[in-house]
Amino acid sequence: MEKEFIELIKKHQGILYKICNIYFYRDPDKEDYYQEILIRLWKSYPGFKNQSEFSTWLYRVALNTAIDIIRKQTIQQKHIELSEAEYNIPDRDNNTESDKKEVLYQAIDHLSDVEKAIIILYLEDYNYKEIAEIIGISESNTGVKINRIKNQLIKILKNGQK
Amino acid sequence: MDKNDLKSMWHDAHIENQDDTFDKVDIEKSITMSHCKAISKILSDVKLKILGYTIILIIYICLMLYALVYSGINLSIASLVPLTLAGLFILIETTSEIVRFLILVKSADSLSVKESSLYFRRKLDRINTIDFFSYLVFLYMFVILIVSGYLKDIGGIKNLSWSNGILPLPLLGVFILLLLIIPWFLKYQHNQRYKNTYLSLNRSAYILNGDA
Repeated sequence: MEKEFIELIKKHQGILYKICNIYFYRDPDKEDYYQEILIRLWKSYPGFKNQSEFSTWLYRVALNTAIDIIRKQTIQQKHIELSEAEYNIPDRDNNTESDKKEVLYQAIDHLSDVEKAIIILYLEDYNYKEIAEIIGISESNTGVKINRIKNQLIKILKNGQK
Repeated sequence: MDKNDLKSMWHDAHIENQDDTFDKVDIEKSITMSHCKAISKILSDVKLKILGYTIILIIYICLMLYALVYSGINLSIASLVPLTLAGLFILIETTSEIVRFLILVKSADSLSVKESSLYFRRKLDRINTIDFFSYLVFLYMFVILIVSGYLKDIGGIKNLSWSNGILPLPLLGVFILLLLIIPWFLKYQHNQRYKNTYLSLNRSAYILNGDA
């Protein structure tokens, strides 16, 4: 079971990298939290019954773990608040192609934990039904939420600041 | 900027920038651990606090038992009040840390994001309620004991006055009032302590439950 799990993780680790970068943006313990997500995935793996795609299950557990870690940081008052300067998003037109990631991640960092989960699934080309299943809301509600978040993101990116 | 640009921006960003930040993490080694270093550190800090407070609480109980039961020392109310308050303080701190530990160790990762949030909320609320009612029952029983002791005039409690060199009755009233208020104060303290967590949960709930 362990070998099978490791193989599956290696195949899908890009997903985990993206989740860690979104939720622990600029957190010095980012690698550590990636490890925690791996641990929690392994602990939950016996419960994975192939009823859904592995990637769908992976997203669900990884997103829940990332959100849970942030909540626990809040309990311990260790949540890192970025300064205004750090939140300042550079004008997109002045960026080179390699800065795109940074600009997008900075903009996404303005969103709430749940909004981040919804937008990451949308950006990863999941359909409304799959997003609704992972998040636990209705399909129609998912569409509305995605539209709102997209508008919010575009506004942030256009203004450079919230 | 068009809404569809977001997806292309996201995909372009990840094609051009391959992330190697996490490459050094050994998956095989990671899954043998119970928690990552950062979480283990948080948990061991809380465990250490629980241990510290428990030791102090045991020492306190032993000393009180030794003084009151074994040595049969008759403490005046003036001495009993601060001693009881000190004991209560240690007890409150110990249970508060245990509560924090319980919140930190439980999670529901396999559920949907909404259900997982609700699970966390329920757990936080349940712990708060249990904490509140335990203190409520314990302290109110303590008050009942004091009041019945007064009514039965145990140890000449009705004749307390400054001239006797011991605390007067109004101060005993204040002490009783304090005991009655403590559970509510703890409820307030819990809400303040987890204010940011509740704010985040409320925001999540608003997004997840909001009308389409």
